[in-house]
Amino acid sequence: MKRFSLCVLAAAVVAVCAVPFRALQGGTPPHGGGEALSRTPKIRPDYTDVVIPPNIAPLNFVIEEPGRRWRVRFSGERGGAFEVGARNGVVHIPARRWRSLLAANRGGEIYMEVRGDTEGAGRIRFAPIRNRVAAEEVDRCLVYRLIGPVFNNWSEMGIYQRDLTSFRERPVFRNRETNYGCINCHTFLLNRPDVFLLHTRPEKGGTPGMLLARQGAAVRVDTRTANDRRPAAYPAWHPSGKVIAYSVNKIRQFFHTAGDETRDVTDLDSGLGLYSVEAGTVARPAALNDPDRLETFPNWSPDGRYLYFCSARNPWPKTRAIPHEHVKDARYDLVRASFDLATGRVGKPETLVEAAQTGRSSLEPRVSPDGRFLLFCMCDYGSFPIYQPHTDLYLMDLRDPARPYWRLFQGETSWRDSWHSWSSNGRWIVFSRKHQNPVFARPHLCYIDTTGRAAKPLVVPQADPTFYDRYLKNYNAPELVTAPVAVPERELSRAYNSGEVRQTVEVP
Amino acid sequence: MRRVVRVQLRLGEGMGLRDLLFFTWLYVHLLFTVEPHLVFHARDPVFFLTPEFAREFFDFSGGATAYLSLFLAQLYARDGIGALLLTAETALIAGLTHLYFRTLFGRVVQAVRFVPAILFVMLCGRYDQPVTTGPATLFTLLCALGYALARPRGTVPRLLLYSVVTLIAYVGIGGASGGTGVVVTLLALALLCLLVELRHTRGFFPGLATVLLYLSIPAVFAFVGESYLFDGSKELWQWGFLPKPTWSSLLATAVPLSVPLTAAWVASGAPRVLAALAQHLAKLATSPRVSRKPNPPPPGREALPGLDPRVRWLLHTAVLLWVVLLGVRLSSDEPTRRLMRLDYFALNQRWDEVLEAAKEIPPQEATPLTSHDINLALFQKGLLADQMFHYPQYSRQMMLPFQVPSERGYLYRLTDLLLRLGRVNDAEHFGSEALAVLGPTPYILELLAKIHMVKGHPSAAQTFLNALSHDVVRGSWARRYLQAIRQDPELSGDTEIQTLRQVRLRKDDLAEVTIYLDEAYETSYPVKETMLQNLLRDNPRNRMALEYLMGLYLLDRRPDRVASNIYRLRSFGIERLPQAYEEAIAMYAVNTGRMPPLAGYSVSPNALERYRAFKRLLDQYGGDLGAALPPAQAEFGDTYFFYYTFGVGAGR
Repeated sequence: MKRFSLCVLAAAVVAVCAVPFRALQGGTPPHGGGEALSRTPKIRPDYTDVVIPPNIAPLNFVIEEPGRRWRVRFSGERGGAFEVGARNGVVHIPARRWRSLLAANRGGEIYMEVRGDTEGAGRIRFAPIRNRVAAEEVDRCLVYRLIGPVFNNWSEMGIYQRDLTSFRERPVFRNRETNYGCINCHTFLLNRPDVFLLHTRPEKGGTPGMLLARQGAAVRVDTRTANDRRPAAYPAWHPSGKVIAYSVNKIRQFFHTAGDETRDVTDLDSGLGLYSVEAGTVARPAALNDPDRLETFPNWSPDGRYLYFCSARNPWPKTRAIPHEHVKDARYDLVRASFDLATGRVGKPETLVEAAQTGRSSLEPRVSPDGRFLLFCMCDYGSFPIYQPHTDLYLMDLRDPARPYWRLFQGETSWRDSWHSWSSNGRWIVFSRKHQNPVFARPHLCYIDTTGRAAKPLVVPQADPTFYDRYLKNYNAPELVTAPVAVPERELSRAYNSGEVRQTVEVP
Repeated sequence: MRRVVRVQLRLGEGMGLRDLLFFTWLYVHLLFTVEPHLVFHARDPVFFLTPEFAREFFDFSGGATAYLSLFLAQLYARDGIGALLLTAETALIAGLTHLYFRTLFGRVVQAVRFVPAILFVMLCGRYDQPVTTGPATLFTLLCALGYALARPRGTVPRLLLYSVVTLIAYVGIGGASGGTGVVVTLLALALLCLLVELRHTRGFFPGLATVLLYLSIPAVFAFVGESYLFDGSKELWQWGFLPKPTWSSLLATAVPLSVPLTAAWVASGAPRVLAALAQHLAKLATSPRVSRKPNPPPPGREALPGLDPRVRWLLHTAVLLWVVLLGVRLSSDEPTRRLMRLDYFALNQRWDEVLEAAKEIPPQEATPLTSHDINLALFQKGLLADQMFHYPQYSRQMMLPFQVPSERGYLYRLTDLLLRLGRVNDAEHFGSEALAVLGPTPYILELLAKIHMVKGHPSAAQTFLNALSHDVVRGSWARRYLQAIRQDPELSGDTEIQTLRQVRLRKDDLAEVTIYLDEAYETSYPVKETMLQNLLRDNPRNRMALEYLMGLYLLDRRPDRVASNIYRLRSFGIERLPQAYEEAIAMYAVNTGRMPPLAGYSVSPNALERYRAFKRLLDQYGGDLGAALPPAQAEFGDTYFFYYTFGVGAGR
């Protein structure tokens, strides 16, 4: 009895102490009272009117309104509700409740109702923020390269994976394993976490090469041949997993001394190669290596019958000095060529988007997993859209050639979107956006419905919603994979540092 | 427990006035001679109060100590607090050493506590000191002392305790002992614990077994940890002082290792031999009429017989002082200190003090950055055109070359200079290179934030400001600007930003260059002269561009170009020719026999006569410039003629 009394007393003390603590946390709830405003509150990141993956981590945010003692009520049209306080306007959503809310409202809407106290108007209540929960999940992991705003030099960079269902980020491969060389172009076979490749470029000397990872093991491949000493750059897995198309680029960076964007890059020369994974051979079909043209950014159709890529007339063939004004002459068409896996034959390229008509450069083609849509970006010129101030995403309906391609996100200004890719179910895309901040690219997810209409994109959420405000690295080349990467960093490091390099032989 | 209490009670035993004097002297020495703010400036320790910054320290062994050390290093920014911190670290090192010896030998061993302390003091005088050495040494000593105090009776419990202590040291201190690797920390700890064990071990083979065991346990921990626990800490294996030893790397290694080595020395009985020798010498020296027998020395104290205890105390203190001063003298780095002061004043825009500090730097110590700082300070004071050659011109380049060395000061200055001139994109280029090469140091974040404010990228500026706002020392500057941007993203009321916007280059001069295959990116830029001319093309009232263009012509020995550009001075309402320009034109006029058109300006007869006098002086030596140098320097050292003739502006 005495013990019971002590327990009751302790519970009472805890309850009494909890009241002021809760008040400190977010204030006592206004309980529905106060002035109702017709507008939604301003929040950062902008998670209003977006379509949310049903398996996404909590969309923590900051309330950017003058006031205090904020409380946010989360609810859904199909049930489930909870309320959280927001200390200093920062809303941290409990993960378990969030997951339950999304699960209960899959395919429906959820609401976020913000209430609080203001200096002048007393208690206020904003109109609820409405977001739709998609029926289709986004792939569980996002793989990207984290890299600073580099010009010529860099120190640390790495390829990391983020579990989108939580806030966990883990390294896939960091350049500290390569003595701080450059690592890039991670590419997965059909969004699978167990088959992928990435490129390594040692800083001084050394052998640039490809790290090829399959079923838990990695091998280092040097795709350079006796005839062509250029290393592989932008790659793409054939859906069979037997062939990798890749570009070889002679890249030259230079700098604008005035204007909005300082950096610029041009391909002085480029072409495409096909690497046979099993045979370890390289082919350079003539159709993909026209000496009068620059070919780059290969991507396969999901049936493997077409190779999509970008091609431009070479404005500077056989020269070693390029007057700057010619740099803007390189504008890329979007083309495709048929491919026969059995024979390795490549057909004659056919043009899908012509630079002469658009007056712009069409780049980075990515075909949706169902083969219906072609996602690409367009910029003013050249082959490096991330440095171009006017870069936007476009979608083309491959099953309806009569339907003209369209700009994915409308708006007066450019969104500066690039490095886009599809989820395995074809309902989500991810891309790097530099719209508001021309220096730092942030990963955005966007829902694409069956007709190809895009919802308003949302930035990938972080545990600390102010994280992007101060983070000094770029999210480069985000790629979605269905599960955590299956090859450990140690194995990639071993393959890189073992000294064993698989050489390739060029075949006609 | 009783044993612990007893040792604690005896902590103060053997410590007294001498310690008080030593640490008081140390505080004053650090405050006025070392000046901790210069250490802070030299080391530029980056520390942000953000979770992601803290997370970086989980990746490697010793992260906890490194994190704490970087936090403590922020205190160096204030001289008083910094000196106090370093004094406290030294005192704690001495105190823990004293306790360790007390525990090891069961008696007070005089003076040895000062060995690591003196080495640490020597390290404090180095401006390239690793900020982690003090905390790492302290924690190593704490671990060893913990082991010595809690040493259980059985072999297995002892090994278990040793393993736990080693694990704690490996994870917590690891390679943070000053860039010398995990090896130094674990070796120091192993030796300290081993000495404790060997005091209780009898026989050769048991002793050998103990040595092997106590050295192999940390080796196993380090191997397993570095191979499987802490990814990417390979560099921590490297010995900081190899292959090129520096004073700092040697001292940082010596501080933690000095304690076990001193203990081994004491245990070997060498001090007793030395004491006996000293006693013998003292006997020879002391007079036989000394009748009063001195008090016998207390056990464990090697004393000089025949001396009054007060004299003996003074003698000991004098020897200690002499050793300390000798050590400080040997390790002090006056040239670096002089350059660091100039560097500090220049980066903090204290222009008068830059010019004062420049006078203390002998020509042989000057670097190209010295001239850069002097010229910038002269420009900021409005004196460049007049007094440019009153100061030595060590570099013949008015603008720093476009390079990306890992030297912090160079990249800071290059970025800052380009921004001030109005070449904002170029400043962004080299500021970003600095960010990549040096990491997010507060100064470079500040510059990048300013660059993007000038460019009208408030969101990018905010990212840099937000990162900087978490800096312990310079966060307030960032917070002020964040507030200002929130109120007015255009910063229309900010004079500095508006001024920089006015001088900003408008037309991309990349059109004037040709991109060559396989050539370095420097070829993306036009030559410096064109860069400055283009700035003046876009804004003829860009005074800095004008003065730097003229300075470039002067240093390049092109007085004709000075004359042909003199018309530009009219834009600024300048009434008379500044001294350096006037001397250049006077020289040109005398040598060519004609006065160039000067847009209404005139060269004074005095300037012409002075140059003629300079020529006469040279003629007296028949072209022997070596012989003519001293008198020419004495009379004309502050003139452009002197620079033109002798190649360096020697100043007077």
